[in-house]
Amino acid sequence: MAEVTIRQLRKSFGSVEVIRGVDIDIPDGEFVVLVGPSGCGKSTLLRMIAGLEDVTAGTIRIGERVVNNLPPAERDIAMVFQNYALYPHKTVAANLAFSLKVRKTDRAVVKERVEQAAETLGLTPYLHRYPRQLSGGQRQRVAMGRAIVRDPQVFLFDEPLSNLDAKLRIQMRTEIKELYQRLGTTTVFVTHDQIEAMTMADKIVVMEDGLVEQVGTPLELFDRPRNVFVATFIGSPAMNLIHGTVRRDGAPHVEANGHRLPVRPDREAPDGHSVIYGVRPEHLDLAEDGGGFPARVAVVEPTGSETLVFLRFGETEVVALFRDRHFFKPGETVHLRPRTDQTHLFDAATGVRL
Amino acid sequence: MSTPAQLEGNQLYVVTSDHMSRGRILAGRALMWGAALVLLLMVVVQGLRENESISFGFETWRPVLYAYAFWAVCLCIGQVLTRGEQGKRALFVLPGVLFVVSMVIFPILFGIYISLTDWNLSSLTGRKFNGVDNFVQMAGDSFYWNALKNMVYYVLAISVEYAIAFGLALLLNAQIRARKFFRVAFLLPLMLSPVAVSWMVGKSMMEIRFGPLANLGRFLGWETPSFFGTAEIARLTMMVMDAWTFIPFMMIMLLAGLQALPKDVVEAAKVDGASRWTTFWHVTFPLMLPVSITAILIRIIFKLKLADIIINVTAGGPGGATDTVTSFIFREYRDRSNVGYGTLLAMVYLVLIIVFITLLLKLVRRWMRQSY
Amino acid sequence: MSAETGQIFKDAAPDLKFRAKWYTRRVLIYGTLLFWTVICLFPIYWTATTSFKIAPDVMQGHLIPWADFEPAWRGWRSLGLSPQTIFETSTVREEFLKRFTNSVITSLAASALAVVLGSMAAYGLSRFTYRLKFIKNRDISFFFLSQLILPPVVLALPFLVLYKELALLDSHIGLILLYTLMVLPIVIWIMRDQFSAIPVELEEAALVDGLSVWKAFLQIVLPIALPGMIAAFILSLVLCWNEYFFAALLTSTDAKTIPVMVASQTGSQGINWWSMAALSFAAILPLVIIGIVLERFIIKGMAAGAVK
Repeated sequence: MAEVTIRQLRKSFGSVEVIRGVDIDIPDGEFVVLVGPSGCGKSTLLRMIAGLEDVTAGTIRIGERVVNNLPPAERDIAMVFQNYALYPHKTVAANLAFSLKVRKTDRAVVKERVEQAAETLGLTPYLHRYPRQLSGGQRQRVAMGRAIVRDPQVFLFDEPLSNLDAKLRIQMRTEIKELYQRLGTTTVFVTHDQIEAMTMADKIVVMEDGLVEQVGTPLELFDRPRNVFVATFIGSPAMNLIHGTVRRDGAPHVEANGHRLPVRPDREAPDGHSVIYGVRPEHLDLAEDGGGFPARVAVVEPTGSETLVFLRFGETEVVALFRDRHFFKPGETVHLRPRTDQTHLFDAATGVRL
Repeated sequence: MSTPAQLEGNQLYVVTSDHMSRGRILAGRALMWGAALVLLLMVVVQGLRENESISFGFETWRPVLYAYAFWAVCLCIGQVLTRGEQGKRALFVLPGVLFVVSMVIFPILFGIYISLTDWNLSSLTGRKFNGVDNFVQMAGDSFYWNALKNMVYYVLAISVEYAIAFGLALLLNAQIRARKFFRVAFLLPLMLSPVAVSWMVGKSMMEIRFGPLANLGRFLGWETPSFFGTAEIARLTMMVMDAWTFIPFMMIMLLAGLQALPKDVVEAAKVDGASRWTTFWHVTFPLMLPVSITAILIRIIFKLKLADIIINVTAGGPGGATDTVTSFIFREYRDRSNVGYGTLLAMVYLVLIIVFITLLLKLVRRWMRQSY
Repeated sequence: MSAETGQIFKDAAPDLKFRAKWYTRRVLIYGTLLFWTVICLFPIYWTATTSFKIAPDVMQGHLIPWADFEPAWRGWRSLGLSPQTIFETSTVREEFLKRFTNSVITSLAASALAVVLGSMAAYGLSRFTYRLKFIKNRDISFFFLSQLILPPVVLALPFLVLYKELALLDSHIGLILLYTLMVLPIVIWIMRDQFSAIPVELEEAALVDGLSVWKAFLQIVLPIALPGMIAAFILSLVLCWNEYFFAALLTSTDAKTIPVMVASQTGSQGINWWSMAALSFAAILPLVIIGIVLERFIIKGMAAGAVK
């Protein structure tokens, strides 16, 4: 096991720069998730760690070694690919054993490790089947098995769950987390699904456009997003954003659409500053007494356990999530009150948290 | 997730550690240049011997060939020594390139030289450079121009072949029983050696007295079923025989295209109430255009090499009516041993083919791209 | 429950009309298919039966064995391949077997060489980026494929002279090299298609697993591309087996192949129907068998590149 240190990493394809100076520290034994929208460079970053793309500038260190110019075979990493990349002409057992055989491992050790991995992943009954005879989930497990038999320094996962159906995906992410807790190997996991990131990660790296937007634990990102991008990317349904102006007459508040939105008094924003006011749907309460701000109901989506309400506050779309059941009619006006200490303020010009 | 690297195609990018020691690089260079020197030396010695400047050397040029092979191997090893991982990658393509270059470029250069000589294998004076004489002879050689004209007819016949092949492909793609049997049966003519076909069909089945095709002709009311009697009929006969062999080729390419058509599009047309005829002309045929053009292009390329059946059935006759360029040059060499002139004709043909195919490619590029 | 089991629904007039139309279509389709089958198979049938005919049967245009004529071993005896002559010495048979062996050697060796060279080149071109001054992958690919348009007649005479100097005239090696050149573009065409259908992830996984590029090619890629290689090999085999032009020019006694022998027979001995039929049939038989047994590989090979 080893830590992974990335310093000022850059990658260009021709004149297009897809990684634009990235610094990440991954301590030994941590589960780190790289998350971001399509094309943000997270997969490229992972492939650079694996040695499948070369580094334009900067360094990647695994343990003590700078690995920039090492071929993948010498980096002591294992990778699980999006489409699993199982060798179609080899049985499950042969797929699992392949990397060990390539490294001339003792036959008895290979057998033991393969059996152990198959046991852990519930693949024992399928050892003599070929990949085409397996379901998607089983193939995914073989791909993971191929990684764990090696006992590498680092696991790399490239969107391994994206080809599974929704239900299986939820099950698998729990299982992968349990596997990780048992092995304790440093893991880098790439996904575009923020829920996957939130549920699995020790630490999340949010990327956009070749840059790291924020690094932190899932709850840090949720509670203190560093900018508007992270705020909207993490959390589902996404945070409501309302444009407004800070007013410091009396209790500090944000004025938007002619209404007062409460903010925490410790926010350092001068009077008259243009801001984006953020509040998550679950942090909006119904103000039966007519306080808060008025909003017109557009669509109601009851899911049983909660009620999702889409509303219009002036021209702004607002989403509210209630734990209890409400029976609003479209067109009805309700009053919503943000929970003051759960609100966020971002600079309107830069999008940075205030 | 697609990164720009993947967008460039299925390329394999991988980090390599290329730290070659100086000694290794030097050894690699020494090997490559050393082998080149050996090759050069042998060429010079052999050349001088040929020239009768020196008396030693080898009986034939064969050892030079071995030296070339040795150099090629050394070049490959040298690549790995000097360039490491990159050299190993070059090793995939290098043998093929070396092979084709030595087998094509060198003979063509040599051919250009021969084509400017009056080399005749049966003459005792040997070869000598005669400049544009061969061109002059060619300009006045009505048989050559006639053969070129015939090639135009032969190429045009492909349109009929294409129509038949398309029809057969459609039939094989319909819901039929015993599809595999029909497919095998339709494929078989392609497997047969043109020389055997020349005898089987051209000489035996078309035999005027008792060949089954002649009998069939008589049965259908053709008084004198002579398949090679007049120029037009002879040419037609050769076209039919060639078509018989090669229709399966186009048919299979088109069948593959038909099977790869998106089913939903054709079904959508049916749901929209289009008749079979409309569906074919407005959906199937346009979608098949790229495949069709590929098939026709390859067929044209093969057609331009047509020779075997002509040589064996009619030998160009009657009066050159069925001659192709290749069969004409073949006779020019075999009957008159005219190597120099024959080579010039072949070179001119090559230039014409390159120009023709290039123009054709430019012309059809528009339809090759699928704009939907 | 009623015990009645009689028919309740009946075909109405439109149903009957539909069925009539459907039947007409079927008849037309199968009629055309059978018609073309006859066109394709009759020459083979004719050749096969003629090899069992004696002179009067040929002259009278008899077609059906036993019904029209009594099959005799006439043609095969003249080749030394009939049951009566098979154990006797026969110069014709020796000649035939020698030509046959020549054809087998040249076509197998040339196809194998072409598949090896072609697969390597196609793989390299589909996976790596090469640069040599201004030459890039596209140019190398084009260079290989453009050999397809090179007519044999352009190379034939220079090769005649060159081979004479190199003492390669009338040798197996000389013919093998030329045949390899002839089928190489086709092999590259097919194999390029094969390799681009294999996801590059597989090789990346192999590299992460610790293989070198060449080992990944040999251990992972080639086994997967094997059907394509077989297709390319068989297609090459067909082309080499049937090749006449180069063989006619460049071989004389030792390395002469079957097509040359067939061609020379037609000219020299007048028309000896039964023996010519037997010879032709023996020459096409290996390929007819390959065509029947390995049809799916041939079709796979020819379909490559048709569909992108």
